[in-house]
Amino acid sequence: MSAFVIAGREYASLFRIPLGWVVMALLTALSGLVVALAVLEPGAIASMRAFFVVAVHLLLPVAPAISMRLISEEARTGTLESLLASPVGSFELALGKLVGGWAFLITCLSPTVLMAAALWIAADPVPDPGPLVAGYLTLGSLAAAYLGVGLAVSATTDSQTLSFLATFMILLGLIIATTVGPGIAPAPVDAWLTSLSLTARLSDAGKGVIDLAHLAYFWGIAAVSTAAAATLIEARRCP
Amino acid sequence: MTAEQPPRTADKRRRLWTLLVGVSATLCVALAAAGLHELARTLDLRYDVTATRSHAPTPDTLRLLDELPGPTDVVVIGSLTSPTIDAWSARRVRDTLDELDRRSDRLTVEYIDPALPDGAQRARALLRSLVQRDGDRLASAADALRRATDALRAGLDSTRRLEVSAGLADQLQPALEEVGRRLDAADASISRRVEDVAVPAVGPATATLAQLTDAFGRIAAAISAEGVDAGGVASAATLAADALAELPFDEPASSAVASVLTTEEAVVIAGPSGARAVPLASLFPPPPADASVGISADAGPRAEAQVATALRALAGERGPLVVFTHGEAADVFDDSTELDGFRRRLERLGYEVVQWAPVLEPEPPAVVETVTGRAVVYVVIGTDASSAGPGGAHPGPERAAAVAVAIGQILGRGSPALVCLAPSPLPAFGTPDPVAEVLQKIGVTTRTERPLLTTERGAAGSVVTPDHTALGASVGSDEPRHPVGRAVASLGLRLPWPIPLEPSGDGGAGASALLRLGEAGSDRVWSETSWLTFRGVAPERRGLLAAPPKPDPERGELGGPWTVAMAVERAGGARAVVVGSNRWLLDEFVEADSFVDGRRVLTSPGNAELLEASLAWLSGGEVVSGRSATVPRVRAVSGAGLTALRVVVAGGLPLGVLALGGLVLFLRR
Repeated sequence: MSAFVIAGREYASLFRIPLGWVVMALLTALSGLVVALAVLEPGAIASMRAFFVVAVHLLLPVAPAISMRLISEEARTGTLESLLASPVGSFELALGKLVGGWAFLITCLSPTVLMAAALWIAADPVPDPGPLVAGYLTLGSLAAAYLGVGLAVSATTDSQTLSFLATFMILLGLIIATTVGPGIAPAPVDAWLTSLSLTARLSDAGKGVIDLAHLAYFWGIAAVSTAAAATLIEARRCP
Repeated sequence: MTAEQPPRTADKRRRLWTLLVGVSATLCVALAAAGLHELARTLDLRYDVTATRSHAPTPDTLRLLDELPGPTDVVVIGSLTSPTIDAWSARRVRDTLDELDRRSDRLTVEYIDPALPDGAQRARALLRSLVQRDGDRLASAADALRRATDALRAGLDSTRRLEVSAGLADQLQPALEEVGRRLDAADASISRRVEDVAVPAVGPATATLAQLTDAFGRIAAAISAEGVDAGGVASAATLAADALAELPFDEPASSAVASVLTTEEAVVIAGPSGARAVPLASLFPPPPADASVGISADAGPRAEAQVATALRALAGERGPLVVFTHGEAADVFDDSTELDGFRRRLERLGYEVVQWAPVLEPEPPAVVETVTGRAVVYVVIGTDASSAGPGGAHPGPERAAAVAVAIGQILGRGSPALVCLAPSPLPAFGTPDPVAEVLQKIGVTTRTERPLLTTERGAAGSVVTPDHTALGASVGSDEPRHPVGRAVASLGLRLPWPIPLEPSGDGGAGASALLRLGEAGSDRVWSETSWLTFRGVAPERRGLLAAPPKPDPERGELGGPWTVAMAVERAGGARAVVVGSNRWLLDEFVEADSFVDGRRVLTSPGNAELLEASLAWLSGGEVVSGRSATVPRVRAVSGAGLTALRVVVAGGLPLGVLALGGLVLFLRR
């Protein structure tokens, strides 16, 4: 129950600061550019698949910008101390932070639904909604994974800048390793790296396939990261 | 004891313990997450949520994958990112092949781009492995070919040494020079190297040497006729023929695959029993010339069908038999390149094609009776009843009657048939069209005496044409429910001399309209009775006619739409597709193309789809092309409209978000 209270508080707080709106506008602008240039092309197949694939990169600067606030800012401003002194458990705290941040990121993505609606208007005949449902479901899961990693990093430092950069580099490293890596790594490492690919999973979803293995992968990262964050928060509690 | 310890040590221990528990819990969560991921992957918990289930292979493909006898490689040798290939089609092909890979543990899909640094090396390695698989088969074939070449070269030398009359010598000189050139070509084929791998071109070399062996037989006969001993020449031919007889019936797989790879990019399908190469271009249906008036066929099902055909061939399975039935008194596949193109297209799809000329042979080919476990589909092409065969033999009415009897036989047996109709002048002379009478029995009324003409309005004014170019949604019925109708509903077709059809309700038939032309209340397309003279005018001169045919209720019928193709399923399950047009399935129409931005585009992609979907439905298979043929496209909009849409999406929405944020923050102050 406390987790939901914390999530609600976190979610609302992001709308009370300019940063939250700037992040939302930034993501909308980047998504809009992709949709305008790669999706809304006369004669092209009416599909948001290109957007879903590129979203792996679009969320790269946005998710760390949200996650850096989750613990690091609380620690920097000193409000984390009062939270730690409260009867809220570390796991509940971490879970609440993750859910709040995730809900905000999903809200940030909501303007892209209007872009899909524009595609609906511009396409003939009306596109199949299946790939859109699969794409957003998987994109939401990817957002949870990114924020999970950011949450865990945020729990390690009081510096927001460090938190942002570290999360950004970890996620970028994962993307590079799973896209460039398979081409240079020896077998069977190449196959293993390919299996960790983020873009392949989003591409799968964008074509209209809901794969529970993909969802398990993203939510698994989120769960492990949340557990790690809870451990780090618990460690802070110790005198 | 614990209470006596200094507080700092106790804190340290507590912290360590907390960390230990936390790390253990995190590890447990990680293990659980990995387990769930693996479980979902192993149980294949994937759901295709597209409306047409366009990512699910057909049951037949799944069966083939299940029955693969051993490790099978599907290797795409070529670039899927080439600018000549439609990007969306390339993605669909890749999706399809990856899906096949995912569905079977025995099938592996690999992509080799020869333009990349390691591409040529990987292609070489593949060829080497195919050569190794062929092993002695390839070596013995090369040996037999070399022996045949040596024998013929010895025969050539011996012929040159013979003393013959000056007249014969003059005749032989160019022939022997040509033989020498072709022997050199055969030598080159035998010692062919592809990507630095020695792979004899067994097929081409065999064909060349077989022709040369025959030529030597004729040369020996000509020399003997002069009373000169041509024993050396004849024995050379015999030796060569003996060597060629040792060749395996099927060309070794590595040789056939290398032959394809030397000329074009291909998909190589290599299994334990051999290998096949499918030209990469055949996987991609060229897009329509104008995306705003018609859509391209989905490349996914086409790629699946091509790979499945190759897998079927590797497994020794043979596809349905197509009996091409025509009214000519000749072997049309030998005489007509266009019909050869038709045959090749069907063979690429896994059909075996034979022909039947009822004018010469009243009974179907014997092979029809011997096939078991395979569907037999008849493709009947209409006959021009107004013209006789070569030399005046077999007048038009006789040929039309023979074809009608054949159609009656086919439909009477309940065999599936695709019947194409030609306009008939017979009713104008008081003789009923025999083909129309036969079709009446299965519930289809045709008006072969009244083909449809169309007024096309262009920049140069109105032109009357018998070729109806139907584009986009104007082709299909509003909601085509029949699988063949769905396959072509949004595609452009070109139908020459279309003939209106109507369901008559006779014969217990369940008829479905597949294609309709013309619009209600419009006389743009009309049914014309006085068409024979117009047919005699060359197409390029039709626009110059002073008095071209025109819609006239006294000479025909006005008012559409006109049904021009129907699918019929009779009480016993017997199927037929009747198309009121005749040559629409030949290369002239199916392969008609133009070039847009350097890319080849089809002008009537629906013709191929109609043929393929009809044959699939008639042979009891799934109409794969119809699963996702109606692919939505972004409509063509004006430059200003497009810019406005892009500005709204990329600029308007973010600014709107910022404005909303500013308002919220302002109100909260």
